[in-house]
Amino acid sequence: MRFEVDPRSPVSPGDQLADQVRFAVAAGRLAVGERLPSVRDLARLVRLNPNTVSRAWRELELTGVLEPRRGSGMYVAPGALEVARTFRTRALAERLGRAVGDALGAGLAPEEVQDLVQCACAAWRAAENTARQSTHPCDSRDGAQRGSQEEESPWNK
Amino acid sequence: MEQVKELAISVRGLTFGYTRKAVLTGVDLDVPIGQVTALVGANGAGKSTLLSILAGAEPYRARFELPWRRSKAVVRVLGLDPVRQGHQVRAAVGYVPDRTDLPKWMRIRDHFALLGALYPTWDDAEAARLLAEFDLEPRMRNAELSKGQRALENLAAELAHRPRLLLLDEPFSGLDPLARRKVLDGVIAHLCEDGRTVLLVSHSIADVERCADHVALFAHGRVTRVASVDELRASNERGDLEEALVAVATEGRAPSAAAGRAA
Repeated sequence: MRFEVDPRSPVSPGDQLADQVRFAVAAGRLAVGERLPSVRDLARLVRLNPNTVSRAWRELELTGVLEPRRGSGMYVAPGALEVARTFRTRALAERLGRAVGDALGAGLAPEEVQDLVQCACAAWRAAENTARQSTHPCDSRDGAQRGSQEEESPWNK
Repeated sequence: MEQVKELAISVRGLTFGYTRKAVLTGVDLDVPIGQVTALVGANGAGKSTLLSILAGAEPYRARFELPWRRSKAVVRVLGLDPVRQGHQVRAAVGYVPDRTDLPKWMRIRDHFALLGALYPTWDDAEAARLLAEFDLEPRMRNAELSKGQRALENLAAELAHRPRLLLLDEPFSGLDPLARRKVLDGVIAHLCEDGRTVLLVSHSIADVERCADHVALFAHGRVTRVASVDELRASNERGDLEEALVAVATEGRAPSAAAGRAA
């Protein structure tokens, strides 16, 4: 899986990494029992203080997403899928809630907002289909963006 | 949450001035081993002076003091006094000032040969590796280096003796994005080794956020507040570190200064 830190994001770098792991687990791109990169390797890769990476890993460990194995680093914990899915739903409900709040605050009617959400879902599906045609489905495992948009359909129902 | 282990730097009641006007007006600062602390504050607040004192480059008191005029300041760097044990401090500390004046004719390999003689822990292989990573050649003369290359050369020189404590004075200022990224890579790689401590002066919020565990706010010649980067972020409702820093730096100066003195 790919990790990246966006310096312009309002989310702190450590939380960005933790979110990326949780979204990857929730979307099935990171399976239970899979090994995560070591703190030092990841710190070098994303140019971040290793203490920050290790704090993110520790938080994931405390919430049951990761488990340490003696002498060999961090692995995705057995109960991680459920934890990660709950987190994903909550985080995205909040994000979508903010976007919907912006739309309503700007004077759109609730129906118009629903139409916009439906349009966005359709556009995303179309983009996904063209991407699937051009590349093998197994290769489409990049970015947390995709996982975040999958969640829009249950919101809409 | 984090256990405070041994301290790499411990400063109490440090006052200092070049003339009668004090530059440092009672600095209290603790830097734990294995952590990165960023000193943040306005220009001319005395951050660079503090760094040069900690590096043993500037004596904060006389080597031998008359008993009735003894300075009350306590400065410990890796458990040593930078005045009385200056040699040991300088050998164990890597200090990259904001500018260094090397003779223009000096080649990088001459500079490194000098440092190799000075530092007992100098590592030639590491120096060569760093130069290659920073795209520098040992035969380059100081006069032909750009500002960014000069900053990288200074950093390589201080990383190559694997110091336990690294003092960086505005390592990212005035660099192009590529040089900035290389400096960041060098600092991160240094941090990835065990028990390395860094004290960093920087105005670049993005770099402070990437590198630092703690931020020490510096104003009017002393440390007014120390907070973890996460605490600072949390103090701003939008999680904006820059806003949080500005707020902390400008919020009622008197109370925060009093708190700093009490701590």
